[in-house]
Amino acid sequence: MAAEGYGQASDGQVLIGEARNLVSQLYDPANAGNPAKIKLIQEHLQALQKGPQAWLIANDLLGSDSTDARFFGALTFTVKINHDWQQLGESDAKELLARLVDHYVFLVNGGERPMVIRKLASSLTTIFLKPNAPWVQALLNLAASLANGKHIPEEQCRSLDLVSTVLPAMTQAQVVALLYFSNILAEEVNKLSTEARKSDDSHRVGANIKDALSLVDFVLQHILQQEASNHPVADIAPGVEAINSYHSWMCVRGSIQVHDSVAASQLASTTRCVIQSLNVSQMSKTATQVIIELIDWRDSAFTEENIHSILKYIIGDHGTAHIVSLMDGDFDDDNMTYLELLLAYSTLKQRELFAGPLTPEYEKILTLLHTLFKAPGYAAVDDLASPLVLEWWTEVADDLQEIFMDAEEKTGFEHARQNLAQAAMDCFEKLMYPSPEELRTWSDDDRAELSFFRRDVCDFLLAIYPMLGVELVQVFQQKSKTSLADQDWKVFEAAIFCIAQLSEAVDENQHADDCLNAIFFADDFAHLCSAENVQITDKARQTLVDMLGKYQSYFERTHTLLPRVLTFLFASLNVTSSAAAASRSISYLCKSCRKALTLELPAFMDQFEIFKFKSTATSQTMERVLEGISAIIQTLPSDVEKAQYLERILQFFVVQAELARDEASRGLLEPAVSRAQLVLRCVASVGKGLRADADIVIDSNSNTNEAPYQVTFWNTGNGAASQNMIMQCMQLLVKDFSADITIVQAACDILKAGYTEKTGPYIFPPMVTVDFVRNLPLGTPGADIFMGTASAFLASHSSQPQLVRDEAVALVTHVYHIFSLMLENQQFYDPELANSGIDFLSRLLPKYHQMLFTLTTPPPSKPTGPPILQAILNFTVVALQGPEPLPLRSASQFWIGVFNLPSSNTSGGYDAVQSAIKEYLPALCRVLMTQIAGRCARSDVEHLCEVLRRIIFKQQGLAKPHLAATLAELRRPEGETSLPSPEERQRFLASLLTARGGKSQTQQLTRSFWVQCRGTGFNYARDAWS
Amino acid sequence: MSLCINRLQEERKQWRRDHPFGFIAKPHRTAQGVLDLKKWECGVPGKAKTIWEGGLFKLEVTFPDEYPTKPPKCKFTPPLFHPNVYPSGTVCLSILNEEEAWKPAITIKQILLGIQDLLDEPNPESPAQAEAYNLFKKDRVQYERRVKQVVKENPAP
Repeated sequence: MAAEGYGQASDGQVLIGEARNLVSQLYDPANAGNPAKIKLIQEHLQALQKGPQAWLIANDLLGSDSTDARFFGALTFTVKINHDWQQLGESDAKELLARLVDHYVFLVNGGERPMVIRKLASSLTTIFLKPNAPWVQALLNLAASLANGKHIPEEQCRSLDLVSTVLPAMTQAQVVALLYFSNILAEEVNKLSTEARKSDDSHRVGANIKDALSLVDFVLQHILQQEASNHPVADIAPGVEAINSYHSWMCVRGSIQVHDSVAASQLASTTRCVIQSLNVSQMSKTATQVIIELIDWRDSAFTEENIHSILKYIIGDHGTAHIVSLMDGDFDDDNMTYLELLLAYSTLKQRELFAGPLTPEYEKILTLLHTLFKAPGYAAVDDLASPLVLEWWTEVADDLQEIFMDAEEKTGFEHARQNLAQAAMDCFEKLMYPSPEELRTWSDDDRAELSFFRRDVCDFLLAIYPMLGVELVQVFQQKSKTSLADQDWKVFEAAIFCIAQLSEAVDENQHADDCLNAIFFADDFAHLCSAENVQITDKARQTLVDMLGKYQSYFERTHTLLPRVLTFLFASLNVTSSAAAASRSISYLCKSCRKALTLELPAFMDQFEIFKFKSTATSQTMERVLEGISAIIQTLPSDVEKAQYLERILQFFVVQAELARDEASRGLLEPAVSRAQLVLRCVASVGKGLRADADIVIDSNSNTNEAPYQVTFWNTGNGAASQNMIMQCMQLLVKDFSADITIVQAACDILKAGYTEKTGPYIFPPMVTVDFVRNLPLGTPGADIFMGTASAFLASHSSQPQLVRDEAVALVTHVYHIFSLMLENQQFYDPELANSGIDFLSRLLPKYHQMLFTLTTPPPSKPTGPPILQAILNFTVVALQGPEPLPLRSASQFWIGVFNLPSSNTSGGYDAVQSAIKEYLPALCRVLMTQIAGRCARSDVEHLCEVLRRIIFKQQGLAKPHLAATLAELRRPEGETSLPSPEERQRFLASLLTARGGKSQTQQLTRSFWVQCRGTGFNYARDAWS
Repeated sequence: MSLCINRLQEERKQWRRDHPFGFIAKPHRTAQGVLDLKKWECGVPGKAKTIWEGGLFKLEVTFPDEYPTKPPKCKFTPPLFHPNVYPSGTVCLSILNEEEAWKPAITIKQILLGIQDLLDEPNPESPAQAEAYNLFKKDRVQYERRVKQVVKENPAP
C-alpha cells in the first residue's frame, strides 16, 4: 500500500485536487436541482474511489476542513477496502488499520460530528469483517488507542483491562465513539448470513462480545448511579446507544457459532442495567423494546431475578403511569410500547397466571389485562389498546383450551374460566356500534377497523366456548332480553351479534335451544316482530336479520316460531341495510321448512305484493324471496291452487316484460335491460323454487319409453296460462336483449328449471330448448352457458336418448353449421363459440356417441356441404393446433373422450367410432408432435400430452410410424435455436413408447422435449416476486 | 408434519405482527372451537382505484402436510368470476404451482398480495374458466360490469 499510495505524489496531487473539487460540487446546494450533473459527478467520483490513487485521496479527504469531504473520505476508504482487500499483504493491512484508527482518534478528539465518526466506524468494521483480517480484540484495541491519543498495536494492549483501566481513562466523547463502532460492528455481523461467517471469523467476533457488553455496562452503570443520586446526566443519548448496542450484541450472541462464548452469568450485570433503565424516562422506551424482543426470543439471557425485576417495573409506579395514560385515551408510542411489554411478559407467564392461587403481583397483572379493555373510545378506531389485548386473550384461550381438552380432571380450570368469562364481558362493552350520526364522520377505513375488531371478538368467543359452554350464550341471552325490554338497541345489537357468532358452536347440536327459546318465545320479541310500539334501529335490525339467518337449524326444529320470524324478515325487506340478508333468510327458511308454512302463504303473498314496488326490490332480493314463496307453493296439495298463485306472480312479470320492451323502443336502454334482467331472473327463480323437495327421490328409471313431453294440466289444462306467461316473458325479452349475458343466463335458468322435474309449468316441449339455442344470433355472449344448457337438456333425457334423437341431431347440426361457418370464413372465428361447441360435443359423447358418429352425410339443410361428422372432427383437429388456449383444451378433452369410448361393434361388425379414430390418427399424430416440439404454449403441453398418451396406450402400433415421421420432418424457422438431433428425437419417441401412456412419465418426457425444442434457456427463470 | 405446523405458527405470528390493511387471514376454527392450522380463512380486498375496489373476496387456503415444500391450495369461496380462477374456485397463479414459481420462502402475506394483484391483472396465458376469460377477451365493458356486480355481492365491511 505504501508504494502505491504514498510514492506517487505527483500524479496523486492532481487527482486529489480533482476529488476535492468534485466533492465540493456534489454537496453544493446550487447543484441540488440538477440531477444529471449530480449523476455525472457521482460516476466520476466512483471511478476515483476504485482507482489506484484512491488510498491517497481518501487519506487526504479525511484530513480536510470540510465535513462533507471528511465524510466522503471515510466512504472512499470503505469502497477501496472492499475493492482491493485481496491485493493487500499483511503489513499493508496493518498499516491501513493503524492509519484509520489514527484518523478515528484524531477526529473524535477534535469533536467530529457523529455522521463522520459513524462512517469511519463503518470503514473500520469493513476491515474487521474481511477474512483473516489482522484484528481480533477490536473494541479493546480501539478503546486503548482512543485513551492513548493515537493508535497502539493490538499486541501491546492485550494485557490491559477494559473495565478497570481503559474505560475510566476515556472522555465521554471517546466512550460514545467507541459505542458507535461497537454498534456498527454488531449490526454488520448480524447482516451476514450464517454461511458467510467463517468459523475463524466467528472466533474473532466472539472475542469482542464480552468487551462490548462491558462497555454497555459501564455506560449504563454511570447513568443509573447519577439517577440514583439525584444528579441525572445531561445527555442521555449514550444510554440509548448503549441499550441498542446491548440488543445488537445479544443478536450476535444468539447466533449458533458464538453462543457458548459468553455464559449467561457474564451477562447478568449488563442485563440488570438494561432492565433498570426501564425506570429512566428517556431510556425507558428503548429498553422496553429491547426487552420485549428478548422475551419473545425466549432467550436464556434473563434469570428469574431479571424476570421479576421486569414484573416489578410493570406493576410499579413508572409502569402503571402508562396505564393511567392509556385509560385517559393517550395511545402514544411510549404507552403502547409499555402495553406490548405487559403482553409479552404475560405471554411468558401465561400458564402460571391461570394456574390457581396467585401472588399479589400476578393478581395485579391479571387486573391490568382486564382493565385495558376499558380505555375510552371505539376499539381499533380510537382505542388502539383493545385489539392487542383481545389478541392476547385469544391466544390464551387457544392455549388453555388445548390443556383443558387433554385434562382428565376439569375442575382445576375454574380460575381460568372465570377470567375468560370476565374478558368476554370486557370485550362486550367494546362491541357497541356507533350511531348513524357518529358513523357519518368516520372514514371507510375506520368502519373497516371496527368491523375487523368485532370479527376478532367473534373468534375469541368461539375460542372460549369449549371451556365456558352454554353459560356463555346465557350471558348474552340475558343481555338481549333486558335490553329488548328497555329498547336499549345498542346493547341489544351487541348481544345479538355475539349470539349470532356463537351459532357455529350451538346451532346444529341444540345445546343452546333453551337460551334461544327464552329470547324468541318472549312477548317482547313477538311485539318486535309484529312491530307493535317497537321502533328498532336499522343497525340492530340488520344484526338481528343476520342472526336469524345463522340459526336456520334451530328454526327448522322450532316451526311454531316461523310465522313471527318470517313476518319480521318480510318487514326487513323494506330497510336497505337489511334487505339482502332478509331475502337470503326468507329464501332459506321457506325452502327448508316449506311444509310448515303452507298456511302462511296468503300472508306472505300479501307482503310480497307490497314489497315488489319498494326501492329495495332489486333483482337479487326479489329472486330470493320468490324462490322461497314458490317453494311453499310447491307444497300445495292441488295443481289448481298452485296455478292460482303462480298466475298472480307471473302476471306482474309479463307486464314488466312489456314495459321493458316499451322502454327499449323509446331508447331508454339501460332501464329496459335492468327490467328485462329482473323479469327473467325472477321467473327463473320461481322455477327453481317450484322444484320438488330434494328429499323426494325421483325414480328416473320408471316409465321407460314414456314420451318426453306428455299432455298435462300445465300444458293443456288450466295450468297452461302459467306456462304461457313464462313463455311470453321469454319471447318478449330474449330476442331483443340477447346481447346481454345476464339475460341469456336467466333464460337458460328458466329452461333448466324443468329438466329435473316430472311435472309442472316449467316443463316445455323438447324443441323449445333446441329452438332457443338455434335462434340466438351469432355473437351472443355466454356461449358456454347456452351450450351448457343444451347439454343439460340432453343429460336430462340420457336414460332414454332415443326419445330425443331428433332434438339431439338438430343440436349437433346447429354446431356443425357454426363450425362450418367458422372454418370457411376466418372473420367469423370466435374462440368462445369454438370452445363451447366442442365442450358440448365432449359432454354428449358418453350417451349420444352412436348418434354423433353415424352422421356421415351432409345435413338436408346444406346438401352440398361436407358430411356432419367430418366437418366437426376437422374443426377439433384445427383447434388442437390453434393459438387459442380454451378451444385447444376442449379439443384435447374431446379426443380424450373419444379414445375412452368403449368399442362397440354393431351387428354388421362396423364400429363407427373406431373407424373415425383410424381415419384421424395420422392428422392427430402430426398435430400433437408438431405442437409438443416447442410450437405450443407451455401451459398447453399438459393438455396435448393427455391425448398423446391415450393414443400411445390404445393405438401404439398404428400411431408409431406417424409419430416417427412427424418427428423426423420437424423444421425450425430460420434464425431460431436448433432442434434436438435426429438421434435425440428417436430416443424421445422410444421413451414415449416404453412409457406406454403412463401419466407422470409421459408428462415428464413431453415437458422436457418441449423445453429442449424451445432452447435450453427457456425455463421458469421468471420469478413472480423478484 | 411438525415442520408444517411450526412454519404455520410462525406465519400466524408474523401475520399478527404485520399485515396489509383490509386483508384477513386466520386459521379455521371448528365448531368445537378448535383451531385447524392447516386450513385458513382469508379475505382479499380489491385494490383501490381498480374495478375490484370495495370488494372483499373470501378464500380458503389449505396447506398440505408437505408445506412449505409444497404450496398451499387457494380456493375462492364461493368461486370467483375471474379468468384465472377455476370453476371450483381454485386460483391459478404461478407462485402457487409447485412446478412453476413456488418457493418455500413465500409467505402467506406474499400469496395474498399476489392474489390481490391478480384480480386486476388477469393472466390471459392461463385461462381457468371460460366464462370470465371469454368475456375479458371479447367484451371488456360487459366484463367490467360483471366484476362490479361481483364486488357488490362481496362488499368489504
